[in-house]
Amino acid sequence: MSLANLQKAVARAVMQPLTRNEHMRVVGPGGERMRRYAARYIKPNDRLTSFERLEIYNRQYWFRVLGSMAEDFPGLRKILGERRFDDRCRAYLTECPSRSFTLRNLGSRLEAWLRHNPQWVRGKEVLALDMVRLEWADIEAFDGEAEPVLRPEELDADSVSKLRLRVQPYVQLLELHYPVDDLVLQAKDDEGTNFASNAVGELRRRMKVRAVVALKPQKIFLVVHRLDFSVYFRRIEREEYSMLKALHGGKSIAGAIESAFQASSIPICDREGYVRHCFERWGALGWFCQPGARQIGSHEIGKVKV
Amino acid sequence: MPYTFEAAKITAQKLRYVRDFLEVPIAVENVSSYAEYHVSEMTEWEFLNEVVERADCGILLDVNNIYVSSQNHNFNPLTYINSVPADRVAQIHIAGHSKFEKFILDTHDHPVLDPVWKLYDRAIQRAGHTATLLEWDDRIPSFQEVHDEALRADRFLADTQLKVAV
Repeated sequence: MSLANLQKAVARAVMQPLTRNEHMRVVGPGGERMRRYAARYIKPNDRLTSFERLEIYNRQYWFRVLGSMAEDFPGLRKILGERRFDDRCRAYLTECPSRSFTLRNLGSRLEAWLRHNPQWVRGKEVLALDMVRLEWADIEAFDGEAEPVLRPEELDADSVSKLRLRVQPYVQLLELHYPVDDLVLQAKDDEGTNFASNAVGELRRRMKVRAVVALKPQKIFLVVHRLDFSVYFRRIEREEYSMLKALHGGKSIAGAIESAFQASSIPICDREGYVRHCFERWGALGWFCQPGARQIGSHEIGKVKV
Repeated sequence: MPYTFEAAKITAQKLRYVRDFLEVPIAVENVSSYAEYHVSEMTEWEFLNEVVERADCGILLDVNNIYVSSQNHNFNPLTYINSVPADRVAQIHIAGHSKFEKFILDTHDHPVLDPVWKLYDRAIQRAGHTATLLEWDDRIPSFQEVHDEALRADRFLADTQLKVAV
């Protein structure tokens, strides 16, 4: 058997879901008895059978990936409750197992998976999807690519209206139906708080449930961005969101501004100042990058070398 | 990973690829393991040596991992420490582990145990004064407790320097 085939066979067993009691299943991949499957690849020793040795990896895999999902999606966990969250994560990871060299990417397909499997968040579909989008944006903003910042002197003053500005790849734009930014900040705060007293812990749990129940629909526009190695959630107005979204989509500055003020309640006389103020702020935050300065991604360099 | 010549060759090829891409020297860490494959053709330390010689890279020597694997696979951890090419050791890791009825697990949630300190002592006798990292990333106690544990490593390093000077 080749190394690749051996690794695939063991990975299939390791990534197979655990039983309800968090042990390795007795039936292995392809319906074969797991004891026989494990014995084919793994040596027993004087204390552990092949099955028991493989089970250590099977359990550790699931403990690790479920722990990682709980760290990455504390807001969704708060919405669903711990047990339901774990059940949904097991179902998600069974269909979309870890395929990346880093656990950072574990939740990359969660939004798409939930859209295809809304029964897992029945009754809370919109809220849950809003939260997943925000929590994934948080991850992308944390370590997404940053390109050289555009400096004002690099702009051609004569053709500014035709200019197409590029928004930094790490800047994430979200249009949400619930104010989930508040909820996720509270969830993160709760995660970082250790209470020695069970009574206080119980009180906190009740407060968490109340916070989710009390959350009313409210349309918000959000930028998730990074500054000095910290991620920030910044609520913006619809017009700002439209301009940034249009710029992100490749529209010229003039086109972006035009699309922003369709059906806008901002008086025409105030719009020039509004736009100037927006661009000044975004520029100061370093959200624009140099046109055509895109760095070569690692995978592209890899291809060149191969 | 089974310890076969094929696996060593592929691992070394990938290490060379990464090193050439990054254009910096790299070191690989020995794992803690809980299973052995029927197809393995050599011991873990022979495999590690085969990989680093082929890749011409450094070793990040985790002495806690050596101890964990030695208990899980019934070998003498000193044999492992004494077999590693000392001149390739770029950094050493120390950590705590958890004992279960039939195996031990690398959990990074306890102080470093005495047998691991003994292996650490032997490792720095061979490799000399080497950068050392204390890993404690679960059930983390007070800073003072972690710091005291790190300072304990300093004492071993100071003793080694003294012995070298003498």
